[in-house]
Amino acid sequence: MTVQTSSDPSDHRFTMPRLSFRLIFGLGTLGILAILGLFGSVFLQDPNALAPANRLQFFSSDHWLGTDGLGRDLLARVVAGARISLAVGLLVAAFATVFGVILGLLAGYFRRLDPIIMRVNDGMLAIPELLLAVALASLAQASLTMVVFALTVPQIPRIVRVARAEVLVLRKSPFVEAAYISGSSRFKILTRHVLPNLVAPLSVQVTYVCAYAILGEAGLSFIGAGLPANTPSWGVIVSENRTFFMQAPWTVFVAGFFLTVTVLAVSAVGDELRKSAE
Amino acid sequence: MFPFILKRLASSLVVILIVAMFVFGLTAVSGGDPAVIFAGDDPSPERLEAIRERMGLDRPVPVQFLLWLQTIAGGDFGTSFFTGRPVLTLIGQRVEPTIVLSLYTIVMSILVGIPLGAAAALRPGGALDRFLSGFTSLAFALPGFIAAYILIYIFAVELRWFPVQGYQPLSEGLGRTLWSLTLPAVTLSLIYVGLLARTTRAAMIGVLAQDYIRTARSRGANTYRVVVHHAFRNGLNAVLTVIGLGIASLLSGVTITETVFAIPGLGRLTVDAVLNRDYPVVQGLILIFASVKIAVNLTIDLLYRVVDPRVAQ
Amino acid sequence: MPQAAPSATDPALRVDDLSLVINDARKPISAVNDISFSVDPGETLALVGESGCGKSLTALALMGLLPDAIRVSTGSITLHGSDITTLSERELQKRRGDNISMIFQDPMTTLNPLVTIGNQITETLRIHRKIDRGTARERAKALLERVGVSDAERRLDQFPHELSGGMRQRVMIASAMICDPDVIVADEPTTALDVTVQAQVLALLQELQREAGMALILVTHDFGVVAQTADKVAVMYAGRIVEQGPADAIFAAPKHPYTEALLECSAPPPPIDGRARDRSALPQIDGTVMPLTQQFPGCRFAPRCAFATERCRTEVPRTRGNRHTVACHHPRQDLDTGVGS
Repeated sequence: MTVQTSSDPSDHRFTMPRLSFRLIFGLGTLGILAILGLFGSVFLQDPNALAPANRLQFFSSDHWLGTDGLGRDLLARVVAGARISLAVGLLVAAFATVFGVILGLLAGYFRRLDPIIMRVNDGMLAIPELLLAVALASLAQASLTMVVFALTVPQIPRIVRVARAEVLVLRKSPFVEAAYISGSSRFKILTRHVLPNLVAPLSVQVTYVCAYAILGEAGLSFIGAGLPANTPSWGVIVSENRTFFMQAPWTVFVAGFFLTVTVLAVSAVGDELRKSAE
Repeated sequence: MFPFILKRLASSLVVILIVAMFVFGLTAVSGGDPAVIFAGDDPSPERLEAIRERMGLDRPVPVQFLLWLQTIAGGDFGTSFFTGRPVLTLIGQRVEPTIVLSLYTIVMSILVGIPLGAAAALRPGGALDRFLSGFTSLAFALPGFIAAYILIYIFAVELRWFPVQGYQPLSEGLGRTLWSLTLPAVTLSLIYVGLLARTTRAAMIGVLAQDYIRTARSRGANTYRVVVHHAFRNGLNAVLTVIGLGIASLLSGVTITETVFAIPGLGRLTVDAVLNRDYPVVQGLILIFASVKIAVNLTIDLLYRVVDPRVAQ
Repeated sequence: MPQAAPSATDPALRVDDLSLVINDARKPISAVNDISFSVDPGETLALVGESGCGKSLTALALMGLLPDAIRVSTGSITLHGSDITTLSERELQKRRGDNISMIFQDPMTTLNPLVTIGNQITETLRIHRKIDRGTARERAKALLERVGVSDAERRLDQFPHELSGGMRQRVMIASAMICDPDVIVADEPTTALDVTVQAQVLALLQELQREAGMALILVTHDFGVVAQTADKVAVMYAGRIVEQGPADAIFAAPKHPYTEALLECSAPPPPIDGRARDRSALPQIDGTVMPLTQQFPGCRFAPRCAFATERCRTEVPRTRGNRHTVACHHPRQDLDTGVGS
């Protein structure tokens, strides 16, 4: 490592976090879940195969994590749910980042747009997150697209805030002023000099958005405003089994366990990123 | 202080106006023709036209917005598509459980979270501090409804200390109400306790390193006096911020918790209204929740000034 | 062991062979070595040295307020008949503020910003005496007037940020004095103040001390302050007392090259009767204090000393002399023949 001066743009840039236990746990868990989600269907049972005769079974060698109220294999459903949760988490994080960064750059760099964007931002932030998501999700038929849309919108203002605050600092920094003086276009300054420096502060924020999105999808699906019934999403699995909760509590807890571990893994990665950013 | 309040009130009004525009736009893009929904089964075209005219739906959209704003400002939030009853009446019927549940949660979280954080700050890296850090991570990752089921399983199904679900109104007596709301309040408190404790801890560690803490100790103050009389007030502003954030996030949390515990509050009303596409109710709820959130933020900003005389300058 | 002259009464505070070490992960680092001094009631001892010499740590040790990482390794601090290095935290709390109190350097940061002036002054009283709020407030008001704060009644309800730096330090002094302690430790009490009020605050402190017959330990780097107030002086360098004695003796005939250099650097130079000084020898003290972590077998001032010999670099000098002691292989004056009082 070399000592960098404050005028050097790279001191804001992304640095790899140290390999710690938490990081290995986080990345490892997410990796396993991703592999299971992608290839699980090859060696697991059909998550939608009904077998009413085998309903509400406890863990056994036939059904490692038991069966649900319609006799479907819970392991197969939970693994299929991993695919949905990770997809929602990644998509929401990606969309929220893209739109949030664009708006944040505009607000931070073009001072005329700033009051407009920030007032709308404040308005959005004033609406409780889940309420906003639920309301947006109700605008069209339940689908993955709607869920991602509904969860993305409430997260954008958070990204806008962080991105704008960073841009406000960066635009005053010597290397941006130098680029400006040397005649670089605004677009070039934004993409070449400002954008790369947003990666480190935003990477932390993005992991939290991802965690919120995974929890949000489960919450929306649980109250019936998310993915359609029978979809093997963790929220739906809990929701459709809660009527059997007294007889077969594991049907609820199995999906809950996967959900909790996944969010723990995502936030562990986020925490490590934050530590390395500091 | 007074000019500050006026200024903040003005900017809060702007924010509410933006929320109102958003809420209005929500109905506009929802696609359904309010007149059709409002008119009920199989209306005649003349009747639809009459309703449209009465609701101002034949006017340009900005005019419609202003008309709508006018009725809202007059305290008329419209009529539920689904039940045909005024939105404010519906909300009024459901507000009690949510208010009691929210207050119960806030009080519980403050009573547990702040002392926990302060104690952890006295020994950073100690056993309590490590427990707190693990607890906070877990509380954040544990979805509200799963936490609820775990609590129900342990305390309602196995130990039978509390009811599995349901709500006892205040008219049955405060004790019964609190008894019915204990598990929901604990569910909602989990994240909040973690958040409050973590913030209190960070604030206290910062404050305890200050010179004036050493001065207090040089006067013979014991740990209790140092923490309660000297450190806590100085860390309070950071804690206030989190209490404000927490109240705001509670408004999201009640939606799910009230569903799990079958509590007839505003959260449950929200879910029902959304599932029924009952937009006047959804609009009313969003406006009210947003107003509460803005009012909480305003109050917290004023409290900063009460706590720290330097902020006012 | 050489000691200050015994007085008729017991000293208010006595420090014997005190050593402080910093607990480091690898190896304990010695911060203060074998220092001894004592102050009588009504007497002022100045603890003088550059920053980092251990004088502030010594002050904190007297209060039992050392940071967690630093501990007393040997020696004793006798206050009110007991060795405070052996007392429990609870026992220490009883003595802090009551028997011994402290005035800190920067009144901007050492007064709690959210507690009223009145409550900060009366706090000591309310901790140590059974006293009602009204009486405590009256005492605080009277004391505030005594330390020269105008409009005392109104000031009691104000917050520190509403007062000037000089006023705040007066408040700090009032809060340290309110229980009539035997000993006051003042750590650079005027350094953070405006030059114009430094002398006033110092004069006030001295006046109050004489009035109440308290012992004052004044920690400072400034020989101007020492000249104005001190009866006795202990000069510290790199964790050791290198020279100690009556103030007039030290001003008249410093024995340690370091003391001599300090005196020469201090402005305005104290009056020195007729003795010609070689100004070219030590116009300023070159170099910096050796870091505590550095091992060194000899006198730690040797690398900066114009008179150092091979012996200075290999052997720690013993403390020699009676009333006026010095730890130097090559004292600038003959032992106990300096122009004393």
